[in-house]
Amino acid sequence: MRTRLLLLLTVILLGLSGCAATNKYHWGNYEKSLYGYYKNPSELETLTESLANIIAEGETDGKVPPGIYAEYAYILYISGKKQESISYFEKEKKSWPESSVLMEKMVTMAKGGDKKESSQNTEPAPGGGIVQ
Amino acid sequence: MTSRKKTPFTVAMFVFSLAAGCSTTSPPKDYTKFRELDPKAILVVPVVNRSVDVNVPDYFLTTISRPVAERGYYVFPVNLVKQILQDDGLADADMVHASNPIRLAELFGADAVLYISIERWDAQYLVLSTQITVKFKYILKCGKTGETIWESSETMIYSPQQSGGGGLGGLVAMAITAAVAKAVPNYIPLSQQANKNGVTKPHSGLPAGPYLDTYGKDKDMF
Repeated sequence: MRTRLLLLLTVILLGLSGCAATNKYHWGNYEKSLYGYYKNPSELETLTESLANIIAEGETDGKVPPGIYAEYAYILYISGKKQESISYFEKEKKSWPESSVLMEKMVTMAKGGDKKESSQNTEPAPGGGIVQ
Repeated sequence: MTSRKKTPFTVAMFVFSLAAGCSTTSPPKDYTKFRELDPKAILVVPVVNRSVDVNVPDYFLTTISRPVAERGYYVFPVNLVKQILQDDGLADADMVHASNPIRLAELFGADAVLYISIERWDAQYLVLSTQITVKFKYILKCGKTGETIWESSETMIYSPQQSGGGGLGGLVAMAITAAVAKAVPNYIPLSQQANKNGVTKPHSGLPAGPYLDTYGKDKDMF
């Protein structure tokens, strides 16, 4: 009886932690993979997979979090996949009209950016002077 | 199976006590300006670090999108924003925090800019556990007027659960692991909790944003 009760309480406690635990969006491993990438840039692959998973999972029920399409698009961009990146920047804009100003700048940059498929380090500034 | 009968009541009591614990309030904030300017899209800029731990800003930056988005706001992609700022010569968070919020908001198309600073992050190594005291501050500035429309400051004390038995044996084991693998403690749960508290607590957090059903209907709480 005690064990059962304890188990129930634990489940409820987990559910309640932080007062409201219902998630509006699918976040997958977002935090962990982004942090891992900051600590070790060679973990770009893991971050890419993690973002792709969030999108795949979120798209099944319209729960892709704001910003995720754009984060994924940017990773594609620095990996040299410019065409693909453009379509994801556009997806972000379509899903979240608030992002229009930034997404239009990103699309322009991805379209006009350096033609050669280069690595992250030799890329031109992704901002393309956005903040100048 | 008979033992089940008793649980719902006990559980209900427990839930109530928990819910009560959640709503311990600090003095109510004035949300007049926030409501008036009604931000919908929030730009989070890199975190300023006033602690000695160099990893802390990344912990806070990677864990801020979820709570703010879950509050019903559009949150600009934090990594993309960070890279853009960096590539445009604003790599230093202090510099970004000192720059003009109206200009920043305009460049990204944001309604408001969220500035986070870590005021304190002290790890205290006790005999059987580590205790961390974190003090962090949020300031949200309006992208049109540049004025502060919301601010919040919180101090949190956290003792990470040490898996692996604990006790002296566990401690020794941990010390060995740390020495061998240079294991870096995982502070993602801590920063997640800190950001969640800072953003969602009634009377001090952010009111529900436009993507929540409770948008505009929570004036008794914010």
